[in-house]
Amino acid sequence: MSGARYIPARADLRVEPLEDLTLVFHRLSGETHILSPEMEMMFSHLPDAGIHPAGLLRTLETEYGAVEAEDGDALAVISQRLEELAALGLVIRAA
Amino acid sequence: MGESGVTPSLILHEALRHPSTIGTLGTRQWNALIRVARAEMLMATLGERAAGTDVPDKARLLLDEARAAARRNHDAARFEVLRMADALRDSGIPVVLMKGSAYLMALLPPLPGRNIGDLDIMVPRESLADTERALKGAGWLSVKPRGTYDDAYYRQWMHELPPLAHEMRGGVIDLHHTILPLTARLTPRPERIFEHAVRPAALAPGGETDALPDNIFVMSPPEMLLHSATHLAYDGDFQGGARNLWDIDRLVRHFAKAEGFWDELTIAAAAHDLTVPLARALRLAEALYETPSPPSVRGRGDIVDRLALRKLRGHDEYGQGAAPGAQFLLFLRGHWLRMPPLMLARHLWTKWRARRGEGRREAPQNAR
Amino acid sequence: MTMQHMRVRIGPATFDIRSPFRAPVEAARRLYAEYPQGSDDEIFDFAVAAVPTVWWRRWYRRSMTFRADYMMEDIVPIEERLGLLGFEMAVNMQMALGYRRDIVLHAASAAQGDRAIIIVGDSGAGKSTLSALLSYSAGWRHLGDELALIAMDDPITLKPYPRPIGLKNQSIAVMRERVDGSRFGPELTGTMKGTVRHLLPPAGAIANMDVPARPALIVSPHFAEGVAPRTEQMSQSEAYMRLSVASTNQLQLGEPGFDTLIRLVREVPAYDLHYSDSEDALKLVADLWAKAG
Repeated sequence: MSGARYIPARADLRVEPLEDLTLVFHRLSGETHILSPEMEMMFSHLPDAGIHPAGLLRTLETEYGAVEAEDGDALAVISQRLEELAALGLVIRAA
Repeated sequence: MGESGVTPSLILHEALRHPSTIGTLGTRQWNALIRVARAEMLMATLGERAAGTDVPDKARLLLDEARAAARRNHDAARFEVLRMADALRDSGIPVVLMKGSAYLMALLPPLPGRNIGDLDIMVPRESLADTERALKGAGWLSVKPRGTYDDAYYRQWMHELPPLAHEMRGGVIDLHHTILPLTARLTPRPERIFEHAVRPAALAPGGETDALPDNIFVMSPPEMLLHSATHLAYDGDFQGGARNLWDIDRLVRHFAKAEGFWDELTIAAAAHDLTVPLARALRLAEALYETPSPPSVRGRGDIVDRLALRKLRGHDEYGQGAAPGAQFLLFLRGHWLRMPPLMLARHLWTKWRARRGEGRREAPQNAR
Repeated sequence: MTMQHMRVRIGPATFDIRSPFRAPVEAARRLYAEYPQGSDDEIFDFAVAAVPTVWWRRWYRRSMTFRADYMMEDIVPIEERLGLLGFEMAVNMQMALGYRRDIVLHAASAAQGDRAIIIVGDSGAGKSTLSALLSYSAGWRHLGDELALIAMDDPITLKPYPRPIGLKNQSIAVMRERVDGSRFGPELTGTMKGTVRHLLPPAGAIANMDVPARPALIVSPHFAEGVAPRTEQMSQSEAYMRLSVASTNQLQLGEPGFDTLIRLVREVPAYDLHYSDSEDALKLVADLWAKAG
């Protein structure tokens, strides 16, 4: 599950924060996506070189203290969210 | 239009063939050309063909709008291909891109301006279940829930599974295992398509394309052409025929540059039992776009050709099809070709029943 | 067959309207008499034709259906006497589905000087009535009652698309009290939306259809019986989503469309309006307009 590395597809995206939520335009698909504050936090902490879910969890813990998920363990939730971002083309899953 | 016998359809075919001729069109002809090009989904293709030609400003504006829309459509289609390829990367299943997505990923000549709809892919029949499972795992869900009439119909009789739509993006995949419905009287050999399939980069000019996993292929040139030709002959009513024949024209002119192409095509057509539909497609392409082909492959015209040409050339100044008699006959013919007679009766009946049901629902509204 | 036809320009778009039925084309000619008429010597944007549902329906129990460049399938056939309504629907559909030069919003709009209000909301929320009231009772310049065209320029401008206002049911009486009968089209009863009657915008709105305005306020009206009048400001992302959903073509416009809507919601305040009475609605708008200064 945590084997994959995720790289933000920044060159394909236009990220526009509004007062409350962040909008992301994905150039290839022409779709606009709305990032919740949690998604935005995850996305903005992805280094350009990419990172494993476990690495991202450690980054977030260093910055915000404990990271907890309401339903299950935080690592599983982060992995799942990264997969969702990958399905939308916002991040690229590297082997 | 009536006065000269030149229908708007003929203006469109001539404009695609010889784009420089549109410089001489009058306003009325332009208006007719735009209608028929929109109706045939060839407006952006016309725009690409006419890119270097002097045309009225307003025509340029409308053509450029269509071209811009087609380029966005290509970007979105490319994204869907890449997502699909990613989902099936580790499956080891050979996947053949069909029609628009093949032209897109191998950068073939039908591409400029061509609208690409759902993503059509083909896998070996024995890999269908695994493919469906892998796509479901990546978020593609069937739009016809299992157990419904439509689902059963697709699975029993069609050359494809019910469409799969992605739960987050809405992109649709049509998953095929052969190139004709199983009910069709002709029986092409899908295994031959997989044997001869090539990597998209092998066909692309300069060999440059998007990086795709090793298991993603396109059909060999003869089979790509055969597939387009069967599509035309088996769509029944030749709807969208002008565009389909344009694909065929572009493919023929491109592939025929290679030595031995016509021989390979003849062998492939015989192997797939598709000699007759190929010949018809080549005859119609010649009639519309002067597509060159050897007379021995093209064969001789018949009554169906004449009906088809009446329809293909029959659009009026509003882009609307004329010749209703020809249309009905062609519709029936398409169904006969695809279905054994008993199946035909059942299929038409179900459609009719569904329509009547709708009519009843709407009736009170109309009566008010 | 002999075709009746007419050409008309509404804002930036030209239409060719045609039918073998004489009556609906003549009704359209009367309704659009004050609009610029196109000539046979120009390339127009969209063609709309009313044709018999079956060929013999041209003579017996006349009913028609519509063909056009951009069309939804399965248009319900309509009786000949409602042909004008069919033309109006088909013309709107061309803009909604086929017009690409600007963002098309399902919204009404009006201007004071060179500054404009955009009124977004679902069908039936009161857009048409509010925009008719603004132009006939509060001195605004009518820009459009159904579709607003947002040019993807910097600064952002709104292009007028001042089609006749489609009033429905009670709104007809509300406006009939305020406006002379000569500005109204024929009363069309028994349509899918009840009774419909078109109201021509004030002559000045038609004469100035090429004069754009800059968006300064976005409102979303919510008419309901018995509610106290109040306004509520939307967040930027809420406004973005409302506009995006109201747009018929933004997705097809790519990054320029995205960019324009983002700038619009950052620059222009957006409010929900709740009211139960048209005088209250006008007052709420006047207060917000003063505040938007």
